Amino acid sequence: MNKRILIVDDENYIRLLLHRTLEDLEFEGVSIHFAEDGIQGRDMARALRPDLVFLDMMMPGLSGAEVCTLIRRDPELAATHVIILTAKGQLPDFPPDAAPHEYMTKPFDPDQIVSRAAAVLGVDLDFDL
Amino acid sequence: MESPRTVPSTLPIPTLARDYGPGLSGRVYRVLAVLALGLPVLGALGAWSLVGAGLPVWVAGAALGVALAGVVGAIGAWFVRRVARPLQEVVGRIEDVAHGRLDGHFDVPRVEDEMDALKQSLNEMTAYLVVAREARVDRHFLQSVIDAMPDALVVLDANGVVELANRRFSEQLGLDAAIGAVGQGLGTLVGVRMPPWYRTLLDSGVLSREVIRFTPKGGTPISMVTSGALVRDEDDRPSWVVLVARDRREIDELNQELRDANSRLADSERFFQNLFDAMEDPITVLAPDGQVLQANRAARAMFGVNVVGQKCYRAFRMRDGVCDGCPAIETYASKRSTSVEHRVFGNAITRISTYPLLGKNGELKAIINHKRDVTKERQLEDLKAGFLAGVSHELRTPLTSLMGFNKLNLRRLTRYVQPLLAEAPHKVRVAFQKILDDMRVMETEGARLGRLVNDVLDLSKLEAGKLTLQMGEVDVASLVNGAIAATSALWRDKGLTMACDVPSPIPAAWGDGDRLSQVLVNLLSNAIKFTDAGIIEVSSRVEGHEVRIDVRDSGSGIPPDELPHVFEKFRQVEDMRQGRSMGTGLGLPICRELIRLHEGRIWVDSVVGEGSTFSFTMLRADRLDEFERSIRERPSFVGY
Repeated sequence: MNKRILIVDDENYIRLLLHRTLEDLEFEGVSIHFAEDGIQGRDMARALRPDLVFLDMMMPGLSGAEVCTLIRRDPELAATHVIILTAKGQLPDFPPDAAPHEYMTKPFDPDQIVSRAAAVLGVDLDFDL
Repeated sequence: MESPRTVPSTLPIPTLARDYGPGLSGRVYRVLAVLALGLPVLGALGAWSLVGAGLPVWVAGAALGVALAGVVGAIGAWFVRRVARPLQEVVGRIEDVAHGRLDGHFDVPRVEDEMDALKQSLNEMTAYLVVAREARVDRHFLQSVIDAMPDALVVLDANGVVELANRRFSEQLGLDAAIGAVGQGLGTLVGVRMPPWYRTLLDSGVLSREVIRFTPKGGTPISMVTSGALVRDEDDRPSWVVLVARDRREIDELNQELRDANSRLADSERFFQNLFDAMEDPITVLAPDGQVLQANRAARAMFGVNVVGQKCYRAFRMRDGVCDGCPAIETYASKRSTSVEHRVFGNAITRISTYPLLGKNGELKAIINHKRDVTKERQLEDLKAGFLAGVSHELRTPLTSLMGFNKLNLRRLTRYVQPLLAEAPHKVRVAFQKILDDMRVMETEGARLGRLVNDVLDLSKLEAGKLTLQMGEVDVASLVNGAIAATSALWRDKGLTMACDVPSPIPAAWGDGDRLSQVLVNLLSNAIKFTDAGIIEVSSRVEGHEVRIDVRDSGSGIPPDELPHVFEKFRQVEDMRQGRSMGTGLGLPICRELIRLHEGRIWVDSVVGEGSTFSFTMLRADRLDEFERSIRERPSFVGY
């Protein structure tokens, strides 16, 4: 089965930027999916069971923190790696069993995003960053 | 009033021993008679018997002469012993007395003759003189004492004649102080021989605050408020009347002064009561046992008009809910001002601040309790914090897109397009290079905008007190080395030398390691930014209960007129000449707020052309108790 990335962000251009950043991975057979808010993100995570989720913090409906907690506490999604994309100084306190695997701060560096994603998914890129 | 030690008018007449037999003179007469009668008879009888015994006449005469000389010598010796020497002693004693030496005394166990009687008389006389002299000293002492009194004092004898008066009395009556009133009668002093008050005084023994008009002959009439007492002798007969008097006008003046002072006090009290009542916030003053001593108008309106006198927990309970965490209890225990915010009635927030009122010896006299509705302030703060968080989010999102796409495009251009242009015309290659350069400017400036947004957010959080520090022990050497490493790209690029002087071991500092590092990195970046060549030195040392870090550069320095402003917002020292200020103007204000939050100090010394030294202090983790003490020693409300 192909590797799947889920991007959850309510900002259209951030989704587009993340897509563009990660599009090289699509050549390696990774599929990239998008959710436009927290609720859609939760539903798609349950349906898709993605390998990697990029989560924005501030979203209508459900916040990134809430979605993160739901994913991390869902036994079905134990293999899902969660990266929270957040502005500096907006890190909430998570219970230890609900914390994301890692944080990346906005404005983020695209090269860093793609290299982390490749590492998490175990994909070799055919170019050097 | 106790009667003064009195001078005896007479001494008891000593019973002199007149009965001492024939005495000295009788004996002398007897001896002289015996001699007058006996010597011629003895001489004639001696001469006759000696001649009759056959001795020649000259021998008899010589023997008779020797015998007579012996008799005369014996009489002379007796005379010297019994008459001349005692006489000398008596003369010497009289001389002593004449010179005022009254301490001698003759030992006369038994009066046998006139000499003994004379000696005894001398003893009695000196004893009397001693008593008289003491009496004179006593009277002088008494006069000095009563002269020192601020009030007029006069002592009358039983007949109403002035026996004693002090200087003040004579002065007040305008009498000659040297002679004074002594000897004047009551009739002369007050114009009436037996005024009713005097009769009352004689009857009852006391006189209380009677206004008496003194009209002395040759003096000034004056009304005096007079009190008096009757002194009786051992036989309970009235002997003296003591009067103490004060000029009525003086008393009136004193009363007026007292009234004025009271009036001023009342004015001042009214002023402060008005001030107290004018406060819009409820303020109460509590006794240490919690009783409400005072309440201003706002407090009476909030807790009821009868709040004064009630116990605070009874008076406030209805409004404040609970005593748990009451700042008055904390102030009572610590003698320090305390402040607590309570959420009451849904969203209303009350801040209760208490201040100790300490006495001169530091004891707690009362507690001021100040309540303030801070609901609006808190709402505004929340609104501001929410607004800033929202704004920063809104700013960061497009910034993320801009910077992200720019970076992405840079990567695509360098990775996919640049290789194809190797064969392209020169103009195309130059234009392409310019595009890359310009995109890198966008990258740096975007990064700067990002820092600015972060700094603004940081500073607003700091100023709103929303930033919480993760306090712990911070290793100073790691802090310094970490900051030097974090800025190494900057100072290596400029070819600067970085020196580090941290003593080992050095006690750990107390603070939030990340935030302290942020401060030090900021100071180092500034130092590097403003230094073109030379050395940057970071040094650390212990100062009392603090650890101090200095960052010294050999840069351009800060002009004196700029020095006071370097820690203000957006006040960066621009180096216009080189147009290279890339900061946000918020770095130092953030440093200042962070260090202030750590209970430390931050400051700068600078000489234009030589460089600047930025210094800050942190608390020593092992000496926090000293810091606690120093806070406790800060002045509180003292007085009341």
